[in-house]
Amino acid sequence: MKNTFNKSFRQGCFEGAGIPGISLCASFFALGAVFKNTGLDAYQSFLSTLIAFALPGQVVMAETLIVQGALLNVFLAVLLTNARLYPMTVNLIPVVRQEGRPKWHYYVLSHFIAVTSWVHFLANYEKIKKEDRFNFFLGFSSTLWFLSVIATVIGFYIAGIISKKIFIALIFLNPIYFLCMVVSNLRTKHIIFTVIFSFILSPILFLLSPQWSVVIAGLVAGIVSYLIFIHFK
Amino acid sequence: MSSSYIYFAIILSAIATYLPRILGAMSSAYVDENGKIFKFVSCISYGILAALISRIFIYPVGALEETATLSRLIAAALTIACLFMTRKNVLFSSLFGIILFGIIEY
Repeated sequence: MKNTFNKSFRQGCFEGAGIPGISLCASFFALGAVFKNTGLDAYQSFLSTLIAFALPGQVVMAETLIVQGALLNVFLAVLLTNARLYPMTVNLIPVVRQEGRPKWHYYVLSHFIAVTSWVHFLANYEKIKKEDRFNFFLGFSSTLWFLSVIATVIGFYIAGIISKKIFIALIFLNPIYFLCMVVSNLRTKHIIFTVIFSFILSPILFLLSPQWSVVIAGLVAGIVSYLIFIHFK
Repeated sequence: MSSSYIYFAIILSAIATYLPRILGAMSSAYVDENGKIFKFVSCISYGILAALISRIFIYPVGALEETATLSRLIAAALTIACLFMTRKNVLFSSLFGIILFGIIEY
């Protein structure tokens, strides 16, 4: 544990405070404004990002609260929205695994796994030595989490002050950043096929089942790609 | 909507968010970085991420709903072009994307 907060951790913190942090802050800033409109107070907005750090799930929670949804509905809607975090975590932990490190360290680390940290890290992890990856990712992702908590509170307090046009442009930064990271990480045939197929399939499925479209499109594209390019190769 | 109701909703959301993460961390013990399961999970993860991005661009929720689908798609397409022209410079391309989107939309 004493070796965790070393140079690699600090490098991760530094990297997190760059474009990934700026991009994520823009979205959480907008989330703070959404929470204010939903009827949450500043403490509740702060707590939400602190303990339930995953933007799409937090938006779904706010939407369910607006329509006076039951607590069970909130739980199931958020669980379904955040189901993507399961394969992402399964995918990321083997990359950062270190011999001798206790399991609970990975359970703590998993709280910080979200789309921005996952996509950025998997695009760059090969440049980092295996023994430094855990510390780097912890520094990187915890910085993103910390900045997101602050951005949520700032967004809550200054919602309505900034121009709506700038506000919308800020929200657009995060999906544009995701897009750039995913496209820049397209190196193997199976990932290229998965991404293109899923990108086309998702909006079609949305017309049939808005709630399940993302999960089903991802599963279908992923399984088909795996079978074609890896299993039957 | 009472304050305690909102706090309960936040705590339940936190559990619903942490559950897939901790289950993923537990399952990962059986996954080798160079094995086939790792590649399979990579395919699923990238598939879900691409589906999510596609949905945000074509059927967004919240403030982006007020913008034109064509503006978002043109901005996305030209951002990808910019990404390749700048040898995958993510920072420059992301900034290019939002500035372009702002110009097209307004």
